[in-house]
Amino acid sequence: MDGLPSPLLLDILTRLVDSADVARCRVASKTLNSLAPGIRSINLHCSYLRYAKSRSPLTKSSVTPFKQVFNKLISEFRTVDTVLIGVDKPLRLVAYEYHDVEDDLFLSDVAFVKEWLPNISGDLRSLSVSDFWLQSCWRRSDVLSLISSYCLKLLELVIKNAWLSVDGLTPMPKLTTLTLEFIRLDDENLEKVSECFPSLQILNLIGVGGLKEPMIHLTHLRTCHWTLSNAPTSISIIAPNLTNLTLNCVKPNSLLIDTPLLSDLSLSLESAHNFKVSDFSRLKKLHLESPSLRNLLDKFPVGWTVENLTAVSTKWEVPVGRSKSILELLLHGFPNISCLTLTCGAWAEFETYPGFGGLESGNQMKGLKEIRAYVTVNDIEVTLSTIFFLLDNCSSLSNMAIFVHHDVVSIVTSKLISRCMGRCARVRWKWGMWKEGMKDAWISDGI
Amino acid sequence: MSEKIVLTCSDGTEFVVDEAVALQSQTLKHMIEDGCADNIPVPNVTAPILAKVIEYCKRHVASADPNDADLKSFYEDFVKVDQPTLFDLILAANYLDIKNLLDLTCQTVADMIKGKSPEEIRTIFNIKNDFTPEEEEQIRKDNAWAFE
Repeated sequence: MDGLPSPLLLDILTRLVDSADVARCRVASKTLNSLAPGIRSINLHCSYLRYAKSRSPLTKSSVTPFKQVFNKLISEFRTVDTVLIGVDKPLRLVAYEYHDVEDDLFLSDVAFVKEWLPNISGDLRSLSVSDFWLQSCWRRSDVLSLISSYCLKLLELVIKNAWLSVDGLTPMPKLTTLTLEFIRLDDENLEKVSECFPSLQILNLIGVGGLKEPMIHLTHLRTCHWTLSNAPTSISIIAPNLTNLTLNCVKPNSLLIDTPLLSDLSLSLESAHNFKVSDFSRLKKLHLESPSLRNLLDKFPVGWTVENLTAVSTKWEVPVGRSKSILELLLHGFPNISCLTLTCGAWAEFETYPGFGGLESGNQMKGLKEIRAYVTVNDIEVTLSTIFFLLDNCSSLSNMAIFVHHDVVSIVTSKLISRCMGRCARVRWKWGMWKEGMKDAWISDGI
Repeated sequence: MSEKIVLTCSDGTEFVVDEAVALQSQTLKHMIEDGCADNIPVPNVTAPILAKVIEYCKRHVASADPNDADLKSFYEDFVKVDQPTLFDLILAANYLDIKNLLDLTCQTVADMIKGKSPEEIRTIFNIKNDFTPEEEEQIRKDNAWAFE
């Protein structure tokens, strides 16, 4: 580093995400070693390999205990604004081979956190703890109380894989981002959460159990990601400034979404006996997912402002008697959409039951500019006739993207592509492949 | 008609650039605003490095949209240079105060360090081991956990 001045070296060291990389830099030169304590973030994680080594009788003695490493590390830094401590994701899957009574990786342990948190809490802005489920799931932790009493400047808090109590939790008015993932939370209606984190702008509750009739009531909330099991009986969100919401639930007895400024909603819901949503006067983007999509559409208020709609039907049946096709229902519910995505179930239902194409939906189809379809091509002629129907009726259509299922034979896919592109040259075609559990991939940007 | 700025590098070579390109550098921006826009000396930067910096700034004037896939691949190719050049680019970006170029080049070095041993790190930074054997033993002991 002949030539790189210390401030630039510190800039580079600060960008090292992993504290182990910093440690190896310290061994490389005196200069780097002396600059290291100026780094303001600590990120220590326990890999699966390290865990395995610490348990194997052969290598056990050569592995420094994790908490000891962390305590030593944190004592060497002058000012700390970010702490990330955790076990790697694969450790979430460690099976119950034996009853793990050890606590060497029980990271939300108040006794452990108390050893270092008070010393650095003055400047701490961001804290993330990813605990080891095997050791934490049966030990209730009061760590939230500890954090709330010391970390008065904390802006962001992430806790994963732990059992958290809210006893002694005091208000944290500066906290703007909270993520609880894979947590058992002893705050069954989220009362304490709403009370003690009043300034939250971003809230992520992913796989948080222990809830009964949870209600999120937060004035400043802007973004919320909430996934729930079928345990809660009633779910409510009252957030007057919320713009982005992702909500995955199953079949609550009652669901209330009071978010008048919402512009982006992703909702996965089987059904709800009492389903109340506010008038979405700003909703632009909507993703609806359900095994009973028709029922859900029935209960959803008409969305005049929605421009971009994705319909996911995870289970469908051909409707009995005279009913509208799924496309007609979607267009009726969202008359001004310009971009429509039909995933496999919704597309398959539409192919099988194209309905009667009434006058009303004819007009609405003229507004569609972009369509994306996820197809399985069980019968190429049926798929083609459905695509052609859309091409003929959506006079404003300029973009059509078709994702063909990975398992479809390539000859069939090629035939599909050539016949579509031959039929309609004015549309910009894009072709891709999809498969359950895999990321979509583009084949070509068709010319 | 866009204004032209002349930049003179360490060996006297002159580079003529559009004002908008030069303004990507906060250092040059201050000089231009202070009125010395005719011929700006950039004595710490050699011709090949200045040429690369100008290439970067030109691309940024064209489009700095972070979602642009072309921009991403431009960045990837831009930093595929040898180590001395990369370090010279860092120094130039620092002197000329071009924040996103400094971010890109420093981040590249940080990414190179990931997972490397101290010996490899010394090669990346082109530095010698300046610990005495006793000091090295101690420092290794202190950081033993990172090698377990």
